Amino acid sequence: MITKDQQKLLDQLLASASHEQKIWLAGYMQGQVGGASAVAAAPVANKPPVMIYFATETGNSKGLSLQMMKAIKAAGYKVKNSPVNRLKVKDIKPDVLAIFVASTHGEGDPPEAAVPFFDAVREAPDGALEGLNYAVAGLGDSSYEIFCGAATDLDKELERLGGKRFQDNALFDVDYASHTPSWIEKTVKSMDDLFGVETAPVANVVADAQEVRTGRGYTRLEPITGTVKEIVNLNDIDSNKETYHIEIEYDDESVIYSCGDAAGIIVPEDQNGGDPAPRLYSIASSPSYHEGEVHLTVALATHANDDGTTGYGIYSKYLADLQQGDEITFYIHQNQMFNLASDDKDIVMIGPGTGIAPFRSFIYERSERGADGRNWLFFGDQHMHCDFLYQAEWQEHLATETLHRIDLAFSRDQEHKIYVQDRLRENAADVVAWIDGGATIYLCGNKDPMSKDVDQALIDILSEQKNISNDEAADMLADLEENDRYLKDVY
Amino acid sequence: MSKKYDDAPEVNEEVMNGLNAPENLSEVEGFKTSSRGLRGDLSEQMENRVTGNVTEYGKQMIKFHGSYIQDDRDRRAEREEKKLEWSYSFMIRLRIPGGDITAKQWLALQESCDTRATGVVKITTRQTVQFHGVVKARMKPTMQDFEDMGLDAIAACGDVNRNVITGSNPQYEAFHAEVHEFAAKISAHLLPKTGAFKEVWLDGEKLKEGEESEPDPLYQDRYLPRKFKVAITTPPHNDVDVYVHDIGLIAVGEGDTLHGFNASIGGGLGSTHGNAKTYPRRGDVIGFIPKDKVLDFCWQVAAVNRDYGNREERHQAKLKYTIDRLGLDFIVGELEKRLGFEFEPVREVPAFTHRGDPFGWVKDHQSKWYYTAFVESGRVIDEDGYNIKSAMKEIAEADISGLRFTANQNVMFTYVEEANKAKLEEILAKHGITIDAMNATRREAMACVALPTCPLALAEGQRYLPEFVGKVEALQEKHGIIDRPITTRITGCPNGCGRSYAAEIGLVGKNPGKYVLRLGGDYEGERLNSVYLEEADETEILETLDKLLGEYANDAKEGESFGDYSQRTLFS
Repeated sequence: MITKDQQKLLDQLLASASHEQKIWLAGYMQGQVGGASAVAAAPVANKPPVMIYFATETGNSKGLSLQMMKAIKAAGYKVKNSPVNRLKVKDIKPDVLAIFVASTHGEGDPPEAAVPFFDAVREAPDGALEGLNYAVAGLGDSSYEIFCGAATDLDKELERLGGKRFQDNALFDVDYASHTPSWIEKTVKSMDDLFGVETAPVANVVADAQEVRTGRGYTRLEPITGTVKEIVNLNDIDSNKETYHIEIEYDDESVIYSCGDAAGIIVPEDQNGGDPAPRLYSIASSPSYHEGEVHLTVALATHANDDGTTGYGIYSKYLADLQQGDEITFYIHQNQMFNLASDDKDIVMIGPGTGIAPFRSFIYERSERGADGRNWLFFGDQHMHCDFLYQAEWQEHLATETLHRIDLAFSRDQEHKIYVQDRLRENAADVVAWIDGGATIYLCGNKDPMSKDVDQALIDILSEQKNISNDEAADMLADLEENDRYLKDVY
Repeated sequence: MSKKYDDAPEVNEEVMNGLNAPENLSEVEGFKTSSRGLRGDLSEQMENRVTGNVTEYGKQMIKFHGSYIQDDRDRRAEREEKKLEWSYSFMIRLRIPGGDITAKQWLALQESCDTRATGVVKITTRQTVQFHGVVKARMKPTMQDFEDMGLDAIAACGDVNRNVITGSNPQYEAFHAEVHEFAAKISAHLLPKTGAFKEVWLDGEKLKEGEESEPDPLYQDRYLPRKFKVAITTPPHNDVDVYVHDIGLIAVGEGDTLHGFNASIGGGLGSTHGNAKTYPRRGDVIGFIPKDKVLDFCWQVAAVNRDYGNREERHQAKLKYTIDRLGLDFIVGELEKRLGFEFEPVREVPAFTHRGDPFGWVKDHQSKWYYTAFVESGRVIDEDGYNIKSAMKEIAEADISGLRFTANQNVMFTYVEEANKAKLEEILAKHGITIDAMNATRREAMACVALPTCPLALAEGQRYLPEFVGKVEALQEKHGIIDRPITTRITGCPNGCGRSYAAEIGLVGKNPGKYVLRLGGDYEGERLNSVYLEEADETEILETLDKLLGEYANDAKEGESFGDYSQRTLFS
């Protein structure tokens, strides 16, 4: 198509051009032959591939990344998304446009699953991502001391590694859902500007992609008020624990929740000890079975004070002290990473202690829906006699065959401690058979050490049952996690 | 019945008159024969952690292992609120023939009870002890504790020969020691042969698939139609209420030589409210049995009821009903045929004079001393400065005596050397254990466990006894007869574990707060009492007793007991 001389000139030019110059040239050439508008709806050569990397705990970052994908695709870019969980720095190609969406937890920390990636970024040498164009969006909660810490840290590190931000950081508060559509528009615009192209407005596309419920009842800024219908300590005398089952009635029909969602509890100012941040508790009720109610399963957190007295966690103490008829302020915190699988799918639920909460929701929901999928529960606590949370309900679910299988680990009912991960190992063959049959595995409860022990147990089980190496089993588990077949709600 | 029992004696089918046709047998009969020697599925049920309860089959099986499933009935509503099932736990009763254990065994027992149960050891009217509140997960460890201390719970409940009891008082006859040994001998002779106990609780070898349980010529594969109880006593003491058991053996001897026993058969106290076919029955004394034949005798009495007892209706299954259905002559004839000898005539023995325990010191004929301490309702606890639990622990630690549980639910410190008496007294005094402060009515009062744990209880038993006795005592004070002991007993249901049918004032639970009032039993335990009020609350009972005790105080003959007076004036 071109002459040898032309080829020679072009080779010289490209050999001396930086990555950015090449991109500029590509855009320049495109402009020379007739502009971008003609090809807006289809990926074109001068628009580089876009990668959206998300670091998510409850699924909000992932949800936002999905919305962005839709809009960016519509703008004619090739776009993919991926969790950062197993991402290595060297896997980030400088010739892609990278958009990072990261949520922040605790004291400015990234989501648990994203920690290895954040560590890797911190340890990478200066200039490792020289030439990378990137943008960062952060999701956080401004009531915490460090707002969007994970996103701002990541931005600083990317800059140190030689990246160039093509758009200012966007840091979103809990009401992010009402602000993200305009930001997505702005982002596409910035991308177009960067490459000297134009895209038809994408606002409609963004609006269509809106799946996150927002407004009253869904953020801490616009909470609703319910009434305590019932509160009872589920643990019996002789227990070392106090775990409260709290039923909250509310009459706002527009506020709905899904299985797996959490309730953000707002403690009144005079009782919050100066900490206005809400606290999330997994919802233990089913939206269809317990209509108009939100149930919580709250462990009263205790610690020994220096003077030998017992101290209590502010939030759990506030909740534990509620009386029937008291008002309580809360909102629904959506958790898109913990959705109940479709009715035909088997599910394996691992929920020791208060980790049981979402599974109570799942089972009642599946019972109400008449779901065909089988349900297998792993529960554990200290003593069967006094700590078997919701025992009578599980017995009923077993009797009605809504719950198909239950395995119990009561750690202190015998000399050697038994935990849920031990029960998983005992049932290794069946666990793998369920996984192979398409079951989704859910894990809820304490992050440390429980969730790590369960991870290890699952890796060991897969390795042993499938006769593969530990690394391969770990990859398999990570694949399950990426494909939403292994979902965690750990804290 | 399986083939291996072909050598079992022929049963006279004619007298059975179609009774016990296979299709009519009660459900429990099926449980027993299908249990592979009392194993059932107990091992699996004990591993099940979804519930602290067991199935109906499990409930029947576990009795034979000395245990009942119970729930704390006071806490049902609260547990339901907590979304928990009822508060199920097991009672475990040990097999301690004659009630004798060593000091070391006591220390281990109390420690096990503190660790795995409620901490309150309960001494029962069958001279044994039981634990309450053992949750499922602790059953195996508790049974293993028993094994470690050389004890077991085999056949302490269930359709088998129960714990054999024998008079605890060694003071009257030199041959008492030999009599006492018969409790353990009879218990061993009538013990089930199955290996189920080792298998279920002690990780013993498991019966293989299709393998049959150990052959058992007495119990075969169907066990007895109902529980079976043997009691032995040495006159003139009748602390065991010898006539109210399936077999009652009254020792006959001279000096330090035991000759044998006058034998009573067919006693029993259980009945059912509203079922006229059920009743308490005093045993019939059928003859003298030489001591070398008594093991055979007990075995054959059990075997006769095994073969002739009613297996269709459990309420009609005890030996007493078999005797009344087939006639005493038939049963005696069957026994003589099987034993191969005729019973000798009853021998003369001293009359019974009392049933209460000899509180304080008595001496046997080898110059060993025995101290009986009162244990209210048999509950070994420290309460109101009367710290029997601490006292028993310290005495056991001092290792200066054995322990014997009496049929009146008290504890006797046994085989004490003269030199150690002072030490024992010192420990008792230190823990507030005295006899003098208590009048005889209270010391001799008795009640079963009943509420809140016993599943059969219709009204309060041991929890109510102290209060009720206090009120009876107040009436005795009022009428100036506090020094005359009156046998007062409460039992929470008509099964009669508290032996209220053999009391001068007997209360049998009917509804919460309501009892059948029975009067006219004698002080010595020769005669059962009769119904005086069908269903009365406390007020009515106390008003009745107030009136009767007033009349008794004024009109009684010289030396006449309240029981004899009531019998004479109310029922004659």
